[in-house]
Amino acid sequence: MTTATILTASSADLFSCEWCRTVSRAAATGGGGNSCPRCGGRLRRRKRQSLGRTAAYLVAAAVLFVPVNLLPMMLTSTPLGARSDTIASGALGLWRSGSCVLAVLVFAASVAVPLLKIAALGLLVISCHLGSRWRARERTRLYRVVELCGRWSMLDIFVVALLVILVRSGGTSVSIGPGALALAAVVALTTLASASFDPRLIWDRQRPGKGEARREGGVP
Amino acid sequence: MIVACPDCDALQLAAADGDRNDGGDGALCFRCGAMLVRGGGRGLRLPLAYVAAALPLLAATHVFPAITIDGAGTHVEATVLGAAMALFVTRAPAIGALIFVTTVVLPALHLVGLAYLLLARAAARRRGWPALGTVFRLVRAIRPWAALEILLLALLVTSAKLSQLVAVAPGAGLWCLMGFLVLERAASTSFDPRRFWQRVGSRA
Repeated sequence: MTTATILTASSADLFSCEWCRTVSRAAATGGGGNSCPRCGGRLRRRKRQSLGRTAAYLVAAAVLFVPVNLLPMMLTSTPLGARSDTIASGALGLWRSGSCVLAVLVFAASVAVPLLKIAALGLLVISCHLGSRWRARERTRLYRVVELCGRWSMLDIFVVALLVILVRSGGTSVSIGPGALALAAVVALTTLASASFDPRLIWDRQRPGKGEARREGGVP
Repeated sequence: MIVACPDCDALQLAAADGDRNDGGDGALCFRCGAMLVRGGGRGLRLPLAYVAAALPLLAATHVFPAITIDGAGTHVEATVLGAAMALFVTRAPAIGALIFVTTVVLPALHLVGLAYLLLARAAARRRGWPALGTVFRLVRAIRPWAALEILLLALLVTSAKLSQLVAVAPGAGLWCLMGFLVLERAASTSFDPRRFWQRVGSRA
Protein backbone atom coordinates (compact mmCIF):
# COMPACT_ATOMS: atom_id res chain seq x y z
CA MET A 1 0.00 0.00 0.00
CA THR A 2 2.46 2.61 -1.15
CA THR A 3 -0.06 5.23 -2.02
CA ALA A 4 1.09 8.75 -2.62
CA THR A 5 -0.26 10.21 0.60
CA ILE A 6 0.63 8.57 3.86
CA LEU A 7 -1.92 9.04 6.56
CA THR A 8 -0.76 9.01 10.15
CA ALA A 9 -2.82 8.52 13.28
CA SER A 10 -2.05 12.06 14.29
CA SER A 11 -3.00 13.62 10.94
CA ALA A 12 -6.21 11.56 10.89
CA ASP A 13 -7.07 12.97 14.31
CA LEU A 14 -6.71 9.59 15.97
CA PHE A 15 -4.77 8.53 19.02
CA SER A 16 -2.44 5.56 19.08
CA CYS A 17 -2.00 4.34 22.66
CA GLU A 18 1.70 4.17 23.54
CA TRP A 19 1.09 1.21 25.86
CA CYS A 20 -1.26 -1.14 24.01
CA ARG A 21 -1.13 0.46 20.53
CA THR A 22 -4.87 0.62 20.23
CA VAL A 23 -6.00 3.24 17.74
CA SER A 24 -8.88 5.30 19.06
CA ARG A 25 -10.76 8.44 18.21
CA ALA A 26 -9.96 11.66 20.00
CA ALA A 27 -12.51 12.73 22.56
CA ALA A 28 -14.45 15.93 21.85
CA THR A 29 -12.49 17.86 24.46
CA GLY A 30 -9.30 17.31 22.53
CA GLY A 31 -6.60 18.16 25.07
CA GLY A 32 -5.21 16.62 28.22
CA GLY A 33 -7.69 14.26 29.83
CA ASN A 34 -7.98 11.47 27.26
CA SER A 35 -7.40 7.90 28.28
CA CYS A 36 -7.20 4.75 26.17
CA PRO A 37 -10.52 2.89 25.91
CA ARG A 38 -8.69 -0.40 26.20
CA CYS A 39 -5.92 -0.23 28.77
CA GLY A 40 -6.74 3.09 30.40
CA GLY A 41 -3.35 4.59 29.64
CA ARG A 42 -3.09 8.29 29.08
CA LEU A 43 -3.39 9.23 25.43
CA ARG A 44 -0.97 11.66 23.86
CA ARG A 45 -0.27 12.29 20.24
CA ARG A 46 3.44 12.39 20.93
CA LYS A 47 5.52 11.88 24.04
CA ARG A 48 5.48 15.01 26.15
CA GLN A 49 8.22 17.51 25.29
CA SER A 50 10.17 14.67 23.81
CA LEU A 51 13.12 16.50 22.27
CA GLY A 52 13.72 18.83 25.21
CA ARG A 53 13.60 16.10 27.81
CA THR A 54 15.75 13.73 25.78
CA ALA A 55 18.31 16.46 25.24
CA ALA A 56 18.39 17.31 28.95
CA TYR A 57 18.99 13.68 29.95
CA LEU A 58 21.67 13.39 27.27
CA VAL A 59 23.58 16.45 28.43
CA ALA A 60 23.53 15.19 32.02
CA ALA A 61 24.71 11.75 30.87
CA ALA A 62 27.49 13.25 28.74
CA VAL A 63 28.76 15.34 31.67
CA LEU A 64 28.75 12.34 34.02
CA PHE A 65 30.51 10.23 31.42
CA VAL A 66 33.77 12.07 32.21
CA PRO A 67 33.98 10.93 35.86
CA VAL A 68 32.90 7.43 34.75
CA ASN A 69 36.17 7.08 32.89
CA LEU A 70 38.43 8.98 35.27
CA LEU A 71 37.27 7.82 38.70
CA PRO A 72 38.13 4.34 39.96
CA MET A 73 35.47 1.67 39.66
CA MET A 74 37.09 -0.73 42.06
CA LEU A 75 39.40 -0.30 45.04
CA THR A 76 41.44 -3.32 46.03
CA SER A 77 43.40 -3.51 49.25
CA THR A 78 45.80 -6.35 49.89
CA PRO A 79 48.48 -6.86 52.56
CA LEU A 80 50.95 -5.73 49.93
CA GLY A 81 49.23 -2.45 49.24
CA ALA A 82 46.20 -0.87 47.70
CA ARG A 83 45.29 -0.27 44.10
CA SER A 84 42.44 1.30 42.27
CA ASP A 85 41.09 0.35 38.88
CA THR A 86 39.22 2.45 36.39
CA ILE A 87 37.13 0.79 33.68
CA ALA A 88 40.01 1.00 31.24
CA SER A 89 42.64 -0.41 33.59
CA GLY A 90 40.28 -3.19 34.65
CA ALA A 91 39.68 -4.18 31.05
CA LEU A 92 43.42 -3.97 30.37
CA GLY A 93 44.03 -6.33 33.30
CA LEU A 94 41.58 -8.82 31.84
CA TRP A 95 43.29 -8.54 28.46
CA ARG A 96 46.76 -9.14 29.96
CA SER A 97 45.53 -12.17 31.86
CA GLY A 98 44.45 -13.74 28.60
CA SER A 99 40.70 -13.16 28.62
CA CYS A 100 40.71 -11.01 25.51
CA VAL A 101 37.06 -11.63 24.68
CA LEU A 102 35.88 -10.62 28.15
CA ALA A 103 38.15 -7.58 28.15
CA VAL A 104 36.61 -6.37 24.90
CA LEU A 105 33.16 -7.15 26.27
CA VAL A 106 33.67 -5.14 29.46
CA PHE A 107 35.19 -2.23 27.60
CA ALA A 108 32.46 -2.26 24.97
CA ALA A 109 29.66 -2.48 27.54
CA SER A 110 30.84 0.27 29.84
CA VAL A 111 32.62 2.71 27.51
CA ALA A 112 31.56 2.15 23.92
CA VAL A 113 27.86 1.47 24.52
CA PRO A 114 27.10 4.58 26.62
CA LEU A 115 29.18 6.75 24.31
CA LEU A 116 27.49 5.45 21.15
CA LYS A 117 24.11 5.70 22.85
CA ILE A 118 24.65 9.35 23.73
CA ALA A 119 25.96 10.07 20.22
CA ALA A 120 23.10 8.24 18.49
CA LEU A 121 20.36 9.88 20.55
CA GLY A 122 22.08 13.24 20.14
CA LEU A 123 22.04 12.75 16.39
CA LEU A 124 18.35 11.83 16.48
CA VAL A 125 17.40 14.82 18.64
CA ILE A 126 19.33 17.28 16.51
CA SER A 127 18.08 15.88 13.20
CA CYS A 128 14.49 15.94 14.45
CA HIS A 129 14.89 19.44 15.79
CA LEU A 130 16.10 20.57 12.36
CA GLY A 131 13.27 18.73 10.63
CA SER A 132 15.72 16.69 8.59
CA ARG A 133 14.50 14.33 5.89
CA TRP A 134 17.77 12.45 5.86
CA ARG A 135 17.49 8.64 5.99
CA ALA A 136 14.37 8.48 8.14
CA ARG A 137 14.13 4.71 7.92
CA GLU A 138 17.73 4.21 9.02
CA ARG A 139 17.34 6.70 11.85
CA THR A 140 14.27 4.83 13.08
CA ARG A 141 16.26 1.62 13.00
CA LEU A 142 19.09 3.35 14.91
CA TYR A 143 16.60 4.24 17.63
CA ARG A 144 15.41 0.64 17.89
CA VAL A 145 19.02 -0.54 18.30
CA VAL A 146 19.69 2.09 20.99
CA GLU A 147 16.60 0.92 22.88
CA LEU A 148 17.82 -2.66 22.84
CA CYS A 149 21.42 -2.33 23.91
CA GLY A 150 21.28 0.31 26.62
CA ARG A 151 21.18 -1.80 29.75
CA TRP A 152 24.35 -3.72 29.01
CA SER A 153 26.39 -0.90 30.49
CA MET A 154 25.39 -2.19 33.92
CA LEU A 155 27.80 -5.06 33.36
CA ASP A 156 30.86 -3.56 35.00
CA ILE A 157 28.88 -2.40 38.04
CA PHE A 158 27.63 -5.94 38.56
CA VAL A 159 31.13 -7.36 38.15
CA VAL A 160 32.59 -5.05 40.78
CA ALA A 161 29.69 -5.76 43.12
CA LEU A 162 30.22 -9.51 42.77
CA LEU A 163 33.94 -9.11 43.42
CA VAL A 164 33.15 -7.15 46.58
CA ILE A 165 31.06 -10.05 47.82
CA LEU A 166 33.37 -12.83 46.75
CA VAL A 167 36.86 -11.57 47.49
CA ARG A 168 37.58 -11.66 51.19
CA SER A 169 40.47 -13.92 51.88
CA GLY A 170 43.99 -13.40 53.18
CA GLY A 171 43.48 -9.78 54.07
CA THR A 172 42.39 -8.89 50.56
CA SER A 173 39.24 -6.91 50.15
CA VAL A 174 37.53 -5.13 47.31
CA SER A 175 35.28 -2.13 47.52
CA ILE A 176 33.25 -0.14 45.06
CA GLY A 177 34.76 3.09 43.79
CA PRO A 178 32.95 6.33 42.99
CA GLY A 179 33.20 5.55 39.25
CA ALA A 180 30.58 2.83 39.66
CA LEU A 181 28.06 5.30 41.01
CA ALA A 182 28.73 7.63 38.09
CA LEU A 183 28.34 4.76 35.62
CA ALA A 184 25.05 3.77 37.24
CA ALA A 185 23.84 7.34 36.85
CA VAL A 186 24.90 7.39 33.19
CA VAL A 187 23.04 4.12 32.52
CA ALA A 188 19.91 5.46 34.21
CA LEU A 189 20.08 8.80 32.40
CA THR A 190 20.63 7.28 28.95
CA THR A 191 17.78 4.81 29.56
CA LEU A 192 15.51 7.72 30.51
CA ALA A 193 16.71 9.62 27.44
CA SER A 194 15.86 6.80 25.07
CA ALA A 195 12.49 6.28 26.79
CA SER A 196 11.56 9.95 26.40
CA PHE A 197 12.53 10.15 22.73
CA ASP A 198 9.58 9.70 20.40
CA PRO A 199 10.66 8.06 17.10
CA ARG A 200 7.52 9.33 15.39
CA LEU A 201 9.10 12.78 15.43
CA ILE A 202 11.63 11.50 12.89
CA TRP A 203 8.74 11.24 10.44
CA ASP A 204 6.56 14.10 11.65
CA ARG A 205 8.96 16.87 11.18
CA GLN A 206 9.87 16.08 7.63
CA ARG A 207 9.13 18.93 5.32
CA PRO A 208 7.51 17.90 2.06
CA GLY A 209 10.28 17.35 -0.45
CA LYS A 210 10.63 17.52 -4.16
CA GLY A 211 10.64 13.93 -5.37
CA GLU A 212 7.87 12.75 -3.15
CA ALA A 213 4.22 13.42 -2.69
CA ARG A 214 3.38 15.85 0.10
CA ARG A 215 2.66 14.07 3.29
CA GLU A 216 0.94 14.88 6.56
CA GLY A 217 0.23 18.44 5.70
CA GLY A 218 -1.52 19.32 8.94
CA VAL A 219 0.97 18.08 11.49
CA PRO A 220 2.56 20.90 13.43
CA MET B 1 -7.64 -4.06 11.46
CA ILE B 2 -6.22 -0.54 11.30
CA VAL B 3 -2.99 -0.09 13.19
CA ALA B 4 -0.77 2.92 13.70
CA CYS B 5 2.96 2.19 13.57
CA PRO B 6 4.47 2.79 17.02
CA ASP B 7 7.67 4.14 15.47
CA CYS B 8 6.42 6.36 12.64
CA ASP B 9 2.65 6.68 13.25
CA ALA B 10 1.66 5.63 9.71
CA LEU B 11 -1.84 4.18 9.60
CA GLN B 12 -2.13 0.90 7.77
CA LEU B 13 -4.07 -2.31 7.59
CA ALA B 14 -2.60 -5.36 9.27
CA ALA B 15 -4.00 -8.84 8.99
CA ALA B 16 -6.81 -8.99 11.47
CA ASP B 17 -6.70 -12.41 12.97
CA GLY B 18 -9.36 -11.75 15.59
CA ASP B 19 -9.17 -14.31 18.31
CA ARG B 20 -7.43 -16.93 16.22
CA ASN B 21 -4.04 -17.17 17.77
CA ASP B 22 -2.28 -19.73 15.65
CA GLY B 23 -0.72 -19.65 12.25
CA GLY B 24 -0.58 -15.87 11.94
CA ASP B 25 2.14 -14.22 9.88
CA GLY B 26 3.86 -11.21 11.32
CA ALA B 27 3.47 -7.75 9.86
CA LEU B 28 6.06 -5.00 9.41
CA CYS B 29 5.39 -1.31 8.90
CA PHE B 30 5.51 -0.47 5.20
CA ARG B 31 7.19 2.85 5.85
CA CYS B 32 9.78 2.33 8.60
CA GLY B 33 9.94 -1.46 8.98
CA ALA B 34 8.88 -1.64 12.64
CA MET B 35 7.26 -4.84 13.80
CA LEU B 36 3.51 -4.30 13.93
CA VAL B 37 2.21 -7.79 14.55
CA ARG B 38 4.37 -10.58 15.84
CA GLY B 39 4.29 -13.64 13.63
CA GLY B 40 4.41 -17.31 14.37
CA GLY B 41 1.75 -19.71 15.51
CA ARG B 42 1.55 -19.95 19.24
CA GLY B 43 -0.97 -21.78 21.32
CA LEU B 44 -3.02 -19.81 23.75
CA ARG B 45 -1.74 -21.44 26.91
CA LEU B 46 1.92 -21.72 25.94
CA PRO B 47 3.14 -18.39 27.39
CA LEU B 48 1.38 -19.32 30.61
CA ALA B 49 3.33 -22.56 30.66
CA TYR B 50 6.60 -20.64 30.20
CA VAL B 51 5.72 -18.31 33.06
CA ALA B 52 4.64 -21.19 35.30
CA ALA B 53 8.02 -22.83 34.70
CA ALA B 54 9.96 -19.59 35.11
CA LEU B 55 8.50 -18.66 38.52
CA PRO B 56 10.08 -21.52 40.52
CA LEU B 57 13.33 -21.09 38.59
CA LEU B 58 13.45 -17.41 39.58
CA ALA B 59 12.95 -18.36 43.22
CA ALA B 60 15.65 -21.05 42.92
CA THR B 61 18.03 -18.52 41.36
CA HIS B 62 17.92 -16.51 44.53
CA VAL B 63 18.10 -19.46 46.92
CA PHE B 64 20.95 -21.52 45.46
CA PRO B 65 24.47 -20.11 45.16
CA ALA B 66 25.30 -18.91 41.67
CA ILE B 67 29.02 -19.06 42.18
CA THR B 68 31.28 -20.85 44.65
CA ILE B 69 34.85 -20.04 45.48
CA ASP B 70 37.41 -22.31 47.12
CA GLY B 71 40.91 -21.21 47.81
CA ALA B 72 43.40 -20.14 50.45
CA GLY B 73 41.37 -21.74 53.21
CA THR B 74 38.17 -19.94 52.39
CA HIS B 75 34.89 -21.11 50.99
CA VAL B 76 32.58 -18.39 49.75
CA GLU B 77 29.18 -18.90 48.18
CA ALA B 78 27.25 -16.09 46.58
CA THR B 79 23.58 -16.10 45.70
CA VAL B 80 22.10 -13.34 43.59
CA LEU B 81 19.88 -12.20 46.43
CA GLY B 82 22.74 -12.46 48.91
CA ALA B 83 25.03 -10.35 46.78
CA ALA B 84 22.49 -7.58 46.50
CA MET B 85 21.61 -7.72 50.19
CA ALA B 86 25.21 -7.77 51.37
CA LEU B 87 26.03 -4.65 49.41
CA PHE B 88 22.83 -3.01 50.50
CA VAL B 89 23.49 -3.59 54.18
CA THR B 90 27.21 -3.08 54.38
CA ARG B 91 29.36 -1.16 52.05
CA ALA B 92 27.65 0.59 49.17
CA PRO B 93 23.95 1.14 49.83
CA ALA B 94 23.26 3.06 46.61
CA ILE B 95 24.78 0.41 44.34
CA GLY B 96 23.27 -2.32 46.51
CA ALA B 97 19.82 -0.81 46.14
CA LEU B 98 20.30 -0.50 42.38
CA ILE B 99 21.32 -4.15 42.08
CA PHE B 100 18.55 -5.30 44.40
CA VAL B 101 15.91 -3.44 42.40
CA THR B 102 17.15 -4.40 38.92
CA THR B 103 17.91 -8.06 39.63
CA VAL B 104 15.45 -9.05 42.35
CA VAL B 105 12.45 -6.74 42.60
CA LEU B 106 11.78 -5.84 38.96
CA PRO B 107 12.25 -9.30 37.37
CA ALA B 108 9.92 -10.80 39.99
CA LEU B 109 7.37 -8.02 39.54
CA HIS B 110 7.55 -8.40 35.76
CA LEU B 111 7.01 -12.14 35.88
CA VAL B 112 4.15 -11.99 38.38
CA GLY B 113 2.50 -9.22 36.36
CA LEU B 114 2.86 -11.24 33.17
CA ALA B 115 1.35 -14.28 34.90
CA TYR B 116 -1.65 -12.17 35.95
CA LEU B 117 -2.16 -10.90 32.39
CA LEU B 118 -1.87 -14.38 30.93
CA LEU B 119 -4.36 -15.79 33.41
CA ALA B 120 -6.79 -13.04 32.46
CA ARG B 121 -6.19 -13.86 28.81
CA ALA B 122 -6.78 -17.54 29.40
CA ALA B 123 -10.09 -16.61 31.02
CA ALA B 124 -10.75 -14.39 27.97
CA ARG B 125 -12.69 -11.77 29.86
CA ARG B 126 -12.09 -8.57 31.68
CA ARG B 127 -14.61 -8.80 34.46
CA GLY B 128 -13.14 -10.20 37.67
CA TRP B 129 -9.59 -9.11 36.84
CA PRO B 130 -9.15 -5.78 38.58
CA ALA B 131 -6.57 -3.21 37.46
CA LEU B 132 -5.78 -5.12 34.28
CA GLY B 133 -4.84 -1.94 32.43
CA THR B 134 -2.58 -0.78 35.24
CA VAL B 135 -0.82 -4.15 35.48
CA PHE B 136 -0.41 -4.19 31.70
CA ARG B 137 1.21 -0.77 31.69
CA LEU B 138 3.36 -1.65 34.69
CA VAL B 139 4.68 -4.79 32.97
CA ARG B 140 5.56 -2.80 29.87
CA ALA B 141 7.25 -0.05 31.88
CA ILE B 142 9.33 -2.46 33.98
CA ARG B 143 10.84 -4.47 31.16
CA PRO B 144 13.71 -2.12 30.16
CA TRP B 145 14.89 -1.87 33.76
CA ALA B 146 15.06 -5.57 34.65
CA ALA B 147 18.65 -6.68 34.23
CA LEU B 148 19.07 -10.33 35.16
CA GLU B 149 20.62 -11.25 31.81
CA ILE B 150 23.34 -8.72 32.45
CA LEU B 151 23.94 -10.27 35.83
CA LEU B 152 24.50 -13.61 34.11
CA LEU B 153 27.20 -12.09 31.96
CA ALA B 154 28.66 -10.36 35.02
CA LEU B 155 28.88 -13.72 36.79
CA LEU B 156 30.87 -15.12 33.88
CA VAL B 157 33.22 -12.12 33.76
CA THR B 158 33.74 -12.32 37.53
CA SER B 159 34.53 -16.03 37.30
CA ALA B 160 37.10 -15.29 34.62
CA LYS B 161 38.69 -12.56 36.73
CA LEU B 162 38.95 -14.75 39.80
CA SER B 163 39.84 -18.04 38.13
CA GLN B 164 43.54 -17.23 38.08
CA LEU B 165 43.63 -16.80 41.83
CA VAL B 166 41.16 -19.28 43.26
CA ALA B 167 39.04 -22.24 42.25
CA VAL B 168 35.73 -20.93 40.93
CA ALA B 169 32.82 -23.26 40.39
CA PRO B 170 29.36 -22.53 39.02
CA GLY B 171 26.53 -23.34 41.39
CA ALA B 172 22.97 -24.47 40.89
CA GLY B 173 21.83 -20.86 40.99
CA LEU B 174 23.70 -20.15 37.77
CA TRP B 175 21.91 -22.94 35.90
CA CYS B 176 18.59 -21.80 37.33
CA LEU B 177 19.34 -18.27 36.16
CA MET B 178 20.09 -19.47 32.62
CA GLY B 179 16.92 -21.54 32.53
CA PHE B 180 14.89 -18.64 33.88
CA LEU B 181 16.23 -16.26 31.23
CA VAL B 182 15.35 -18.62 28.37
CA LEU B 183 11.82 -19.17 29.69
CA GLU B 184 11.25 -15.51 30.52
CA ARG B 185 12.31 -14.50 27.00
CA ALA B 186 10.04 -17.14 25.48
CA ALA B 187 7.14 -15.94 27.62
CA SER B 188 7.53 -12.24 26.89
CA THR B 189 8.13 -12.64 23.14
CA SER B 190 5.05 -14.82 22.75
CA PHE B 191 2.97 -12.20 24.53
CA ASP B 192 1.44 -9.96 21.90
CA PRO B 193 -0.21 -6.85 23.42
CA ARG B 194 -2.69 -6.37 20.58
CA ARG B 195 -3.89 -9.94 20.61
CA PHE B 196 -4.07 -9.80 24.38
CA TRP B 197 -6.49 -6.88 24.31
CA GLN B 198 -8.47 -8.39 21.46
CA ARG B 199 -9.06 -11.42 23.58
CA VAL B 200 -9.68 -9.76 26.91
CA GLY B 201 -11.84 -6.98 25.50
CA SER B 202 -12.29 -3.32 26.24
CA ARG B 203 -13.43 -1.75 29.42
CA ALA B 204 -17.04 -2.56 30.17
